[in-house]
Amino acid sequence: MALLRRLALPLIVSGVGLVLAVWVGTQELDSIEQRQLNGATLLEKIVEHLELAAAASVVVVVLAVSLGIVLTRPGTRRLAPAVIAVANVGQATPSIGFLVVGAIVAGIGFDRVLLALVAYSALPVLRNTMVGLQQVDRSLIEAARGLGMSPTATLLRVELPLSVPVILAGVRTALVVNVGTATLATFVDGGGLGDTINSGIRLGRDTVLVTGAVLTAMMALLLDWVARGAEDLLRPRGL
Amino acid sequence: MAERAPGARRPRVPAIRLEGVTKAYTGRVEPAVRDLSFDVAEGETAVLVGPSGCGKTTTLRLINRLITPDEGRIVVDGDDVSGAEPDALRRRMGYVIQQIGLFPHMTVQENVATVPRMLGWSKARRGERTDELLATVGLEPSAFRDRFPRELSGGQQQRVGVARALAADPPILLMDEPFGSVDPVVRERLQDELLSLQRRLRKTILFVTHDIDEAVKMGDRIAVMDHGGRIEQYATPAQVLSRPASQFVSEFVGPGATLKALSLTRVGDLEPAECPVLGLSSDPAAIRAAIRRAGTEDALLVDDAGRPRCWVTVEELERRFDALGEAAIAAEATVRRSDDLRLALERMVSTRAGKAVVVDDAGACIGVVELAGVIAAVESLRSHASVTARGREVRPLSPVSD
Repeated sequence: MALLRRLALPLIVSGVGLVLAVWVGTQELDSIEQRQLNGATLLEKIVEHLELAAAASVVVVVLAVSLGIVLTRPGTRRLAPAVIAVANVGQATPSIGFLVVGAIVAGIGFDRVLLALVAYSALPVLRNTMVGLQQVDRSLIEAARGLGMSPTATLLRVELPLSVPVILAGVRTALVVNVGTATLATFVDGGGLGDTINSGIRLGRDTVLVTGAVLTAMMALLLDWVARGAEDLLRPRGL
Repeated sequence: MAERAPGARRPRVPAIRLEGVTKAYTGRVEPAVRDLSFDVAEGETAVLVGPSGCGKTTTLRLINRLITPDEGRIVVDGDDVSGAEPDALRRRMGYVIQQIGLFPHMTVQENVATVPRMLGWSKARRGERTDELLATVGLEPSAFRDRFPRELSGGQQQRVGVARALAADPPILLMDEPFGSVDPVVRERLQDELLSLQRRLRKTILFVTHDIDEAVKMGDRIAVMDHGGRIEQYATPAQVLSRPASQFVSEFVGPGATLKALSLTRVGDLEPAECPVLGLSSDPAAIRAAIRRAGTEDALLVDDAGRPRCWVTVEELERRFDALGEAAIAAEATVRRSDDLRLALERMVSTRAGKAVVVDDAGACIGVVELAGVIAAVESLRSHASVTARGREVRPLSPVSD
């Protein structure tokens, strides 16, 4: 039963994928649709999309977790409000605006898209890292320090392990946000499933549009499911 | 416990010494501790006791350098702590905090081995040491080693906390209200266990509590602290109880200081009372003769194994000489030599006989104590304390003889 519940999401997503494949298969595709909806092209778009989302998420985790650690250390704690404000701006700005302004300023391509995605999804990870570290019971830190653990050892062996569940929740949010936002990469020549969706819109081919949108949604759901599994695995025992 | 045997007089080597230590927290006008000076002798248990916010915890945190003093000097084992590397210093001092602070994501074994691991002990050695310590604090190693803290009761967690502090065998233990978060029954037991542990280990312990009863029970010396970390009196428990140095101390000790002092003396130290002890099947005439000879009101009858059965008076013998066992008062009030007088008094007043039988481990009678003996002990405690108490006693800074 537990296993079934755990596998429910991928099963449903596979079902949706199957329905999509059958539906597309029954349509009469013209040459434009065929150019978009063939296995090789779709796979290429999916891979591009995954690369964008994954690369952005990795960069976000590295940057935002480190920043979160720095902003909860005694000496640098007072910088936290300012940095959080900047991160808030990053998330509050419409992502398409971010992309376009970024493209105007810095040019187009994979790296620029990455920059925009990172700016847009850093906040949840940063905020959760800080919250995660702040909610660690002060008495545990007192005990660790009192026993002679260095600040670094306290961070690595007590504070971070105890913050893992909260930090990972932030990472999961960032991952899903990135999969969604990566569809906008098409507007600055960043590739991904956004190309498929956009072609569908511009050329008035609903089959193409729906395929791109459904594939994006499936990807977001699956990645969220994988990340939730990772959360369960990485959560420290004993909590 | 508190008073050393007369033969044990030896020079005190201060393991911990504070000299004029002042610490103010930023944003507070009044310093948390001001001009604080005292010594803790090696192998002794000193208790800092006082109302909350009086600077007790601050004092502990100053000693292991979790905070640094604004003024003054702290010397541990002859070294000024301000020159020591803080992490290395702390590994020489076991630290137990009220919230226990076990790491919830680590097993009992990992928690206990925290300091050994930092010291680079091998895994095998850490495992051995953990098992040894768990047994020492009364936890079966095989049952507890791999548990997580949330799977333990409060008392068990506290034991693990003590084991963790002892892990690398530090000469000094700092204990900040270590039994504050457990219920009174468990607290009493943990206190007893720490006392017996301390008799074996002879660590230098600085113990913080707000409970004067706990201070009297645990301390070789008690420092009664007022706000601002001012030591009102630093003396033996007997002195604090019988000769409070100030209004503050006597108010803090509260009513019942004499009753509290009773816990400082053991039954074995009492003058035994005169009392004829005879076998249960003795001839009434012999019992009467024994009572008359001893000049007491009654006699204690014991069974074949020497276990006390009942008290009989001369009148009872005359009235019911055929059924002695039923006529008499059952001799139920028993104490051991190691029990304190508080318990003995409690037992005495809970029986009509007004006395208690001292028994050995097998339950056999080895003597009788009565109220007069307790009163005499209180008197001697008071006169003894008055000889040594010198008003507000501040420990001299150089090693002195006890």
